[in-house]
Formats: sequence, structure tokens, C-alpha cells
Amino acid sequence: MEVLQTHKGEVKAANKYIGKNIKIREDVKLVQGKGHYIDDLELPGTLHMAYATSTYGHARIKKIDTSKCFTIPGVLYVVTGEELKSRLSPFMEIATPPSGNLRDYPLAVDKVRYYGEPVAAIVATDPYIAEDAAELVDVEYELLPVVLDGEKSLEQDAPLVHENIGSNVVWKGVWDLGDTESAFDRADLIVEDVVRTHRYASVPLETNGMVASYDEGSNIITVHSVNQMPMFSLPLICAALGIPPSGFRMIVPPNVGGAFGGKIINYTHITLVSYLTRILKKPVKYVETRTENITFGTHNNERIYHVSLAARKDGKVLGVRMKAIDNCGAYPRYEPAGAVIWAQVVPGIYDVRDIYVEFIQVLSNKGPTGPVRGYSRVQHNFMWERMMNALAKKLNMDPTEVRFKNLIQPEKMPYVGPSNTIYDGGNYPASFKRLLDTLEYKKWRDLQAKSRPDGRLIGIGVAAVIDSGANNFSQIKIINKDFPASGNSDVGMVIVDQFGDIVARTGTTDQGQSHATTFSQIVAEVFDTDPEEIKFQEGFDSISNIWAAHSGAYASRSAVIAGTALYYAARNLKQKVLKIAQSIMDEPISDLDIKNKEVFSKVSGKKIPLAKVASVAWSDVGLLPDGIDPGLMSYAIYKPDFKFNMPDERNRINNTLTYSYSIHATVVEVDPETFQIKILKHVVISDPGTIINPLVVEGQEMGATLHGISAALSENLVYDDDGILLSSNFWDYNVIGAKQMPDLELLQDVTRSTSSVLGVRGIGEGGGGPIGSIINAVEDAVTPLNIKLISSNISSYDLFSLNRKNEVI
Amino acid sequence: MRPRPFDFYQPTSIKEASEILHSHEDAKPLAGGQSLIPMMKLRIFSPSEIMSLAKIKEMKPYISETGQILKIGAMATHDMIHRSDVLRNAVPVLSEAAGEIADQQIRNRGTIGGNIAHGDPSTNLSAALLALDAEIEVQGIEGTRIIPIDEFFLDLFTTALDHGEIITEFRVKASPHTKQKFMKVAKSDTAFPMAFVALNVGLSEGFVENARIALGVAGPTPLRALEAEKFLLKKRLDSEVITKAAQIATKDLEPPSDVHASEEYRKQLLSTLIKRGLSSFVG
Repeated sequence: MEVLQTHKGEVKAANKYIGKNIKIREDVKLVQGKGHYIDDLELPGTLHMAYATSTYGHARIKKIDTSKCFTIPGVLYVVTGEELKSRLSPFMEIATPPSGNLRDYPLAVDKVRYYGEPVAAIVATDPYIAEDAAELVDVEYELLPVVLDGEKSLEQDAPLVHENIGSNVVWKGVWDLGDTESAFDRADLIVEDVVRTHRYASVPLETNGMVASYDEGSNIITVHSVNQMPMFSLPLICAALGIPPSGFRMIVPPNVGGAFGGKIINYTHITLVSYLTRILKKPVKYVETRTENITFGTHNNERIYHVSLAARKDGKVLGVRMKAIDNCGAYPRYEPAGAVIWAQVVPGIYDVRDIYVEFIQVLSNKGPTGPVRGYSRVQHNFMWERMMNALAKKLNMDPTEVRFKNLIQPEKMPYVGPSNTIYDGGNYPASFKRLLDTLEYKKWRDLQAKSRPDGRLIGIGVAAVIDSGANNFSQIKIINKDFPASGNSDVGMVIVDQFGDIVARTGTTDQGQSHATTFSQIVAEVFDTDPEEIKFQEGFDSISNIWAAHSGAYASRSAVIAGTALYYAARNLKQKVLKIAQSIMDEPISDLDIKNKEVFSKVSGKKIPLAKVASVAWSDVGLLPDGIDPGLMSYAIYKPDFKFNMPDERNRINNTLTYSYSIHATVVEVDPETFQIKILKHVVISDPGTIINPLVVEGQEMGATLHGISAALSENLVYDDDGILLSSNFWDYNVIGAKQMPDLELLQDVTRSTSSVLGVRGIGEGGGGPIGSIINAVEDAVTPLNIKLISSNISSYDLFSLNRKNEVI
Repeated sequence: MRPRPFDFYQPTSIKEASEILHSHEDAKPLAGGQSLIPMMKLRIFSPSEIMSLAKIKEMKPYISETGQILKIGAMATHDMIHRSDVLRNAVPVLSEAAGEIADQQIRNRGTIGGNIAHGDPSTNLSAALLALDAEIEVQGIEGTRIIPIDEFFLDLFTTALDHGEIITEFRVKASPHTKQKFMKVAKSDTAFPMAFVALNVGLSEGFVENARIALGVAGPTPLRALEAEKFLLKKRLDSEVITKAAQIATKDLEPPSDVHASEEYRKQLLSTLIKRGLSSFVG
């Protein structure tokens, strides 16, 4: 097999199907409405669940009266936290005590801790009745003071979100890498700054949803859900319910309408519908409303950085020290996993080795956070790009020049960073230069200077993100060495069925990433057969389909890990096909190969269809050569070697496998009267590694860019001082649509990943690249107004207010 | 989210519709549902009775021209209005305002009658029709009457419609020779606008002969900048006059504050839009 073999820095064009713009097979089906999403699933006799939710940010529950609910015909069951407290175990926490002792249930117990928290669940014969009854739940609250800001939650007299853990701290850790003391001693200057990232959501088109049913005969609960990490979530659910995994079947439908990280912490709802179906002995369905999805679906972590950066006069950064305070809302759920994964990108794209990070994650009276596209790294990348600009400003240097001084050089690739991350290739300086050339950087700088006297506010910003993919769960060992998750793995299965069709499966699921198309291309390459001919079976099933414990589409891992497993499975199966063909054709195996579903001899030219081999392998097994088992089915499990697989005493670990990057350059113009921000030009360059399907990669990169633009300029979860979420629906939480999006120029500088078997890098997240370039560009534009920005979100209203007050928000 | 329970009526004539409304205190007419349906789904407004206008035979959507008068049926959709060549030539401000409503799907459903009857100061068409001095034909159990648009909007979500009355038609004078403009600031196409203006100014040899300036999200109802209109009369639209007019138009306003814009910011936006709109009419 010579496919995919390339030498460093160059991708050989020899692949026949990998790298080709093959039409995305899923799209036509989905736009025709032929997909199968969770809400399409109607099991006979399904009951519907709705939540009554908290109208306060923090309050003690004195009494809940649910009697009125039953005045509506069709209401069958109402459950509150009081009942769950005695019937379920609290969810397992990743952190160790004291914060590991906090008690989290599917419904609020004793207190509500954030606005919109589910307080009671109503089950009724239809979803309208369930919502009607939810309004009749009468809760008597005693209001408590709220804590919303991460820094305030650390103060001595701050209200406690969970009293039993004694503080609001979830976890803290220190990364003391290199020698910052010496770096700061050698520095010509120190730049100090504060950087804040704001709270936004993942907002998939399809909200979270699940249907649970219970079979009394087998005592098995079956849950169909959109969960992105089914086998990670399964133990959490089973432990809460007090049942073994053998009594719980987890299914993910073939189509999931986007996730972006926001479909992981839905295990709380899964647990609740499972609990209810066991009591009611009928299927129970819950699909989040949009308001619920925005309120508690999954928020992105807010983080405050206090940074000191030591540099030389020429712009070279010598070291950096920071304290980061991360606000994860009222319940950690998948946190504090995110509190360590920023460490995948410790130095950003810069060659800085002396870094000290004190990291604290805290609770607050806001919605729970969890993975959101670029999870935990987006904040850290943003911090770097703000600090680079701050340094440039202080030195009166061009911000691009400062970056050139600090970029990791291509000859250092693969680059082992200060925390033992292994950046797997890429030519940052060449890409950055090409980006600036394509942007026409100089031209815009000239226009900026020329037009300022006329009052025009043009600004240029650049920012890079490391888009790390295929995570190493061993990073969790930094938090809790006893938590049973490390490494990463996935499975692939390839079958040549009785008719000679090639059928592929993996353990990972699809949320719109075109798995069927791309995975078929990998198998097609091995079998030298048109990808259209490869069948791909979608959907996850913990009982009847294949999986590994890490299976799922998250952390940009599917192509890298499941794709490799599938590649191995295909390769092994091909060998078996050839072995059987050898005996049928009576030719040496070395003369045989496969093309277009036929085995042919390179010497004699003789050929037989795969179907012939399959028939022998599956049915006519008396003809099988000795020592060969019946069937044409190959199963491979792939576990990458991360080299630095486990954290050392300084928290150093290679905590992901691939390190794609993208650099964004944005030109904006700010209207001096309305303060509206218009993007005049946006260019992106990235290195996705070996590309399986360019259309899919482009789609991902475009989506990530648009998500980042929307986060920077629009999406913002605003809480008032009492902890009430003001932007809980699309009237006030504005997601920018295709029409408002600027034209994008997407460039690629492709080098093969030195870490992944197929040379591909995970690129599903994008890490919020435009957030830094836009904030930098806007700040650059309003330089004449002397406005300083701190946050990762900026609106025209903010600029108006800042200009009026001429102070920092 | 899902609406609370409601009874549903689907009359086939205006007479029948008026009778239903007259005898059912809580009945609310439903046209395209652009505003009503989301409010019901969020349960911030829950009428117990809904009466659809969709099957009323006299209320088929239309746009017609009778001499100088343009007639627009209340059930005409935003998309029809936006795409009508007649309207684009005769009353461009209305065409522009309709084209800037939300997205295509909403423009396919939303109607001019629903837009106006809702009495919301943030609907594009209310400002455009105000700038065009439209007349509103309404029918009820007592018969038909005409309400000038200046007398139509009474307070937030409150109009001069009596209960039982339905808007049936809008009439505007063709004014192809006046200068017209619709301008809006919004976070996204589907977001509630932060501010907008609709301008309709008649010029004669460079001097203002008549002016109507309508403001959106400027107060509890769609508003006219009456003093600014008066100030502009007989003046030449130079930059000084324009700046002054924008100042006068916004000085006593008290627009609402919300997460997207404060009162102060909205005033600045309105003033800027007026200035830019008027400036676009000269030079």
C-alpha cells in the first residue's frame, strides 16, 4: 500500500480518492428532508417531558407545590429535586474533593443556582400539555445574593454556589514551565494587561434531544440521544441511575443537527428521561426548546487573564506569567476538563518557553459551561494575540513585525513545546507572509493612514489559533489521577458482504461533518474502488454497533482517530480478500491487487469479482483455504501514541495528537457616528494536513470562521446584576446569518502531520480564530478615539458607550 | 416552546370575521403570524382565541393602481410589496422597507396588515407608511371607515382599531417625484432593529416643499419628527440645515433602552440616519 506516503512538507498527489473534491453524499439527502433526527423519532405511546425552570439566579427552594399540574388532563407525573435526591446518586465529578463533593442532579436540589435551571419536570401525553403544566408549578423561593463574576466569586465574603464545598473554587493548578524568573530578569520591558473572554453558546440548529424507553422483560433502558460522547457519558448516567452498563443501551440517530461541543453535558436530561421511563414504563421524550438551549444547553467559559509579558526591545518575547480565572457557571459537569485543555496551546504559535500559569476555575450563578468549538483554547489563543498587540503598541512596532519575531520556525518542526506538546508541522512564517500578501496588508495600512484625517476609522487585525485535535484524555490526570480516562481510541470496521459490497462503520458519530463521504474516501483508497461504491453505516449503538470508550465526534478527532482505525481495518481486510483470491485464482498473492470491486492479477490480467471472493468467504466456506476463518469482516482499534502520554510532575503532557493552526487577518471599518463595525476583508490561512475531501475541509473552516465572527461581533449571553439572563432567545441572542457574513478568502498551506498516520490534522473546531483578529482590528480602527478593548466581544453599542465614557468596560 | 391552548376560527368573509371578533372578546386576528406566533410560542402573549384571516375571500392579497392612488390589500406579503414594480417606482420607501424585513421566509409569510395592526414601533412598514401619509381602510360590524395613519398608532401595541375591526386595505399616493429613503441599523437581518427612519421629502428647485420624517424604535409608537419637518419647509438642504433638522428631530425623543442599545445611543443612531438620509437627497 503506497497510499498516503509522503515526505515531510509535501503531500504527494498520488492518492486517487483521498484529497479529491468528491460530492458530499449526505447533503442532498438532508436538504430533501430525508434525514433521521432525534425529533423524528416517535416510539409508540411516547410521553413528553417539559421543565419548569428557575426564574432567579440564586435562591433557596422553600416549597414546591406541583398539585395544580394535575388539574390538566394528560399530566401523568411531576418530579422535583426532592424526589431525585433520594432516588438517584449525584453525578460523578471529575474534580477531587472538596469541589468533587458538590452535588449535581438533573433537577435543582434545595437551591436554584442559575437562571433557567430545571426545578421540576412534568411528563404528559403531549408536549403542549407538558408545557402548560410546567407553568403551574408553584415554587416558593427565598432569594440569595448572586455571584456572577469570576474574580468576585473568589472574594472572602462571596456568596457560595455550593455551600458544602466551602468555597467557589472548582480546581486550581500551576504550570511552571521553563524559567520565567530568568526570562523576566533578562527582559528590556514588561507589558502588563488584562484580557477577558465573554460567554456565548454553541447554538446548533438542532437542540439537545433524547427519547428513553424501558423494556421490563430484559430490564434494559434504551436511550436515543444526540450525545456527542456516548460512551464517556454512559458511565455517568449509569452511576447516577444505579444500574450497570449492560442494562443501558445508548443509541445516537444517524443524523445530528450540529453540536459544536454543545451536546455533551446533556447527560443530565438523559438520566432524567431514563429515570422517568423506568417509572412510567412508556417512552419519554425531551427536546430542548431554543430558549432552554440558549439558557443551559452549554455556555462557553468566561475567563479573565492578568498577564505580564517579558520582552526584548526588538520584540522578542522572553517569557510570560499569568493568572487565569475561569468562570464555569453553577455546575462543573464536564469541567474542570476544560481547565486543563488550554494547555494544548500553551505558547500559541510562538516560540516562548518560559511560561508560568496559575489557573483557577470558579463557580458562579450562571449557566453551566462545557465544550464550545475551540473549547478552552480559544480563550488562551485570544490572550496571546491580545498580548502580542499590547507588546507591539508599547514598542511602537507593527503588530505583524512583533509576530514575525516570535513565530516558531519551520526547521524546529515537529516542535516540542514547553509543556511537551508536539506541534506536528507547518510553516508559520511562510503562511503568515502569504496571508499578509493576500490581504494586501501594506495597501490597507496606507489607506488607513491616508483616510484618518478624513475621519475614517479603518483597522487591521491579525490573530492565530492553534486548532488542536484528537485530544489525549490523560490530561484529566492533572486534575484527578484516579479518574478513569486517558489516551484516546476509536474503532473501524470494514465488511465485504455476501454480494461483494464494501461496507464501513466506525464508532464515531456524525453531526454534519460528512463522515460518510470522507470515510468512504479512505476505504476507497485502500480498495482502489470508486467511493460512491462504498457503503457507510451511520449511527451509534452501544449494543449492536461497534464503539470504543472514546468514540464520538468531538475535539476534532474523527478523521484522525476513527479514520486511522478504518484505514487499518480496510488494509487488513484487503489482505484477507487477497489470500482467499489467491486460492481461487491460483496465482501468488504478490501478483494480486484490487480495483473497482474486482481482484485482478497484475501478471496474467485475470480477474474475479469481489462478490466471488465474498461468496466463498461467507457461504461456500468449504472452499476456504486452510487456516482462514469464514467471513470478510475486519475490525481495528486504534490508540495513538502521544509520545508524552501522561502528565509529569510539572503538568507537562502532549495532550492532543494534531496541532492544526489557522491565522486570520481582518480589515474593519468603524462608522464614526453609528459605531457599526463592517468587515472589509477577511483572509484565513490554515494547515489542515493531508486533506481527505477539500469541500469538507473548506466547509469546516468557513463554519469555524463564521462562528468566530458571530462570537466577536454579536453573540453574547448577557446577565443582569440579579443574574437574570437577558439574551435567552433569538430576539436578543443574535446569531449572525449568512447574509451578514463577509466574503472570506480561505488559503491553505498544506504539510503532512508528523503525528497522525494518515497525515491529516483535526480541523473541526477552528478555535475562534477571527475573535482575535476582529478585536485587534476594531481596536486598531478606533485608535484616534483612544478606546481600549478588553473583551472578546464588541458591539457598536459598546463602542458608543466606550467613546462616551472614554473608559474601559 | 409551544403556545398555550387556544380556539381557532377560520371565517371565509369579512362579515363573518367581524361577527366572530365582535362576539369573542379575546379573539385575535392572525394574518402571516410574523409577530403573533413567536409571541405565543414564547408564551408572552396568549390569546385564548385565534381567528385566521387566510380564508377570507375579500382579503386575497393585491396591489393595484387607480390613477394616483395605490391600493395594497392588507394580506399582501412583504415579499409582494418588495417585488412590486409599481410600488418600487411610485413609493420606493415602502418597497425598500419591505425588502429589509427579516429574511426571505418571513417576507413570504408576513403581511402589511399584520405589521401595522400589531402596533409595534419596530416594524419597518409602520415608518414607511407614516412617511407616505397612508390611509388605512378598516372594516367592522358597523361598516367601513378610513383612518389616516397619523391617527392610527396610540401607544405601544395599541392602535385606533376598535375591537371587531380588521384592516382591509392601505392607500398611498404615488409620489415618484419626491425623494424617499428607508434606513435601518440592526445587529442582524432577523434581529429587532436598533433604529430606523423613513424619509419622504418633496423638493422644488432645491427647496423643501414638503417633508415627512418617520422614526422607528424611537418611542412607544412609530413617530413623526414633526418639528424637524416644519423646520425643513422652504429650506435648501445644505449640511447646516440637515444637521440642525437631525438635531431637532431627536432632541425630545425618549427611545427605549435594552441590551442592544441605550436611549442615548438610539438617539444618536436616529439622528445619524436622518442626516445621512437627507444628505443622500442632494448632491
